[in-house]
Amino acid sequence: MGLSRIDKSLDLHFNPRAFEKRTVAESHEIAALIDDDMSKEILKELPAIGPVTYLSKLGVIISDVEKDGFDYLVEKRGVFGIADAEATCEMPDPEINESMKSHSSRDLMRDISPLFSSYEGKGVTIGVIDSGVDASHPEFTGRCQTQVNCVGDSLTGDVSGHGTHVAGSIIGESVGVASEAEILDLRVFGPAGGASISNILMALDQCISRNVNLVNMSLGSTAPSFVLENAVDQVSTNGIIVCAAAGNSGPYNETINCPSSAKLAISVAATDASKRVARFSSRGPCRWNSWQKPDCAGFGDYVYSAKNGGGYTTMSGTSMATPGIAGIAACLLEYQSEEENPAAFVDWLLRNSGSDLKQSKEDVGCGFVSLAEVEKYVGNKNEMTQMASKKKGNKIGRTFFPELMKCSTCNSPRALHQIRHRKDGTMVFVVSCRNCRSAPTDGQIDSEEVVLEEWQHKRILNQDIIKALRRCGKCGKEGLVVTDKWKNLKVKAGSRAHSEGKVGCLYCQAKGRRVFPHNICEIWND
Amino acid sequence: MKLDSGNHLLSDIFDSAWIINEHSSLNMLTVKIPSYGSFSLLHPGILFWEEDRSDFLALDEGE
Repeated sequence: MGLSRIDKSLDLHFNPRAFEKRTVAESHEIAALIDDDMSKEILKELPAIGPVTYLSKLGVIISDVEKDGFDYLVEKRGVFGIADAEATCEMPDPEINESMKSHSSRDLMRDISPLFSSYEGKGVTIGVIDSGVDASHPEFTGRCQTQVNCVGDSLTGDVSGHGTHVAGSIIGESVGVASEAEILDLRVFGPAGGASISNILMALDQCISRNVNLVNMSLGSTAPSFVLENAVDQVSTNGIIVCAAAGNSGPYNETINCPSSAKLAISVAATDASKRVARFSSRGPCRWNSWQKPDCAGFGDYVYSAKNGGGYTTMSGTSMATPGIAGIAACLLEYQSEEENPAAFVDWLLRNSGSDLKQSKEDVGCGFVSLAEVEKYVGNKNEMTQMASKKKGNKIGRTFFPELMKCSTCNSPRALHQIRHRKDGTMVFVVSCRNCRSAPTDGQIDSEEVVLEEWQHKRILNQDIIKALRRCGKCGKEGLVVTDKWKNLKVKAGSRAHSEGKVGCLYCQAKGRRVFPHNICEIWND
Repeated sequence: MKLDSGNHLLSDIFDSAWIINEHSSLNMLTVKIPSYGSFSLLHPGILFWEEDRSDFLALDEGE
């Protein structure tokens, strides 16, 4: 027999189990799938109750049958399956995927955070480099008072709606993460769409000269611009946090856009509401430089925010994730406003406090950042204060390396003798100034130790190191070369491998020794 | 383009009519150089330069 399937309900109806006290005399409507060649025979022989319908195109007969008719079909060759024709079909409840619903950035990126619940970015100004902002939208309540036109046309307000949506996610009263912060509207887009490097440079220049605390750049290009990356880094070294969208060129690797590719920018990837990376979000690392990007991720899929001209709309993109992170930064800056150099600590938090849900660094950087995640990361108020004071390091600030390499007394360049990693993640720089140090005693020169936190030494460019390590302690010229092979030093538990090398100066023939971690020795050898 | 931090007078490098914008906080300039002025890009006071372009787009996902 060719039967492949019988509805269980029918089997139970016509062949009840012993414990089911049911009669079997009742007829039941069935639908049977049959072989077309056997249809005539089956239609003739089937002991049906009432007429039999045969749907020839489907090869299905529909009929009321009793047990004998059911048994006939079960036994009959050419019947492929029997279904209960009386069964009713119900429309299943629509399955609502939580991640597809639209939320505002405020809903998801503030979350429940008792430590930061009363901080709304008061006193913080954010430069929004975008298409302009509809300042009259009720969400902004007079907190967007200045528009800088970097395009040079005669238009005002928002030329596309993008900037208003972005600004809404940062400072919107009901949809924004930092509902008491203010924005400086820097319009770089014209009605045609594309923004030029020169317009963006003008906007970044304004951010420095007008002393904003934060910059939001929900824009990008898949092609690199060294000039723009350099400009973003300069804004950053002025103590201004720059949040830039990672790009919408995912899901492939090495698709980070410029200018989020800049070393000091906070490159923001996008996630859906369940904190999973959005398909469109650009993935790291950067194609044209070696920086690990993105740095963190924010909510950027179906984001509900302000609409140009009034009302609200939903948009998706890393453009929408970036303002959420900027809003968080604004709240943290307000929280840290009493501290010295709060930007450096907030910058560090944005790069470290995310929850990655086991997603790769190339997808989400340190992970999804929200005020709740930051609170989870720092613990309580006391721990945050301790962490912040530790991260302040040696009051060097964000432009620490040039300062570190200049003598604080006579301002002449220092020589860099040693770099040592320590167990606690800090790094010791042993430096000396040839003008200010006393004469060597027992071959030991008078040197100074400067301790840098990990977050500080990560910001040192290789070229800064190379310049400093080649500087001769005696004549001050960059003429040191390695005269012998690097000798590996014994590695202590929990420490990194270091090497010692003999060096000599090409200019003054002075000889000395240097101690550096392996990676620095490799840089030197290159 | 970006200028080095030395005290180069802009008038030494470019005709003032070529300068479109001076981004003084960034130590950068936007200039429009005529073809006969291209050698000025070799001036030692210029650290690097790049051609302007307008392909920076808003990063919202289109429909």
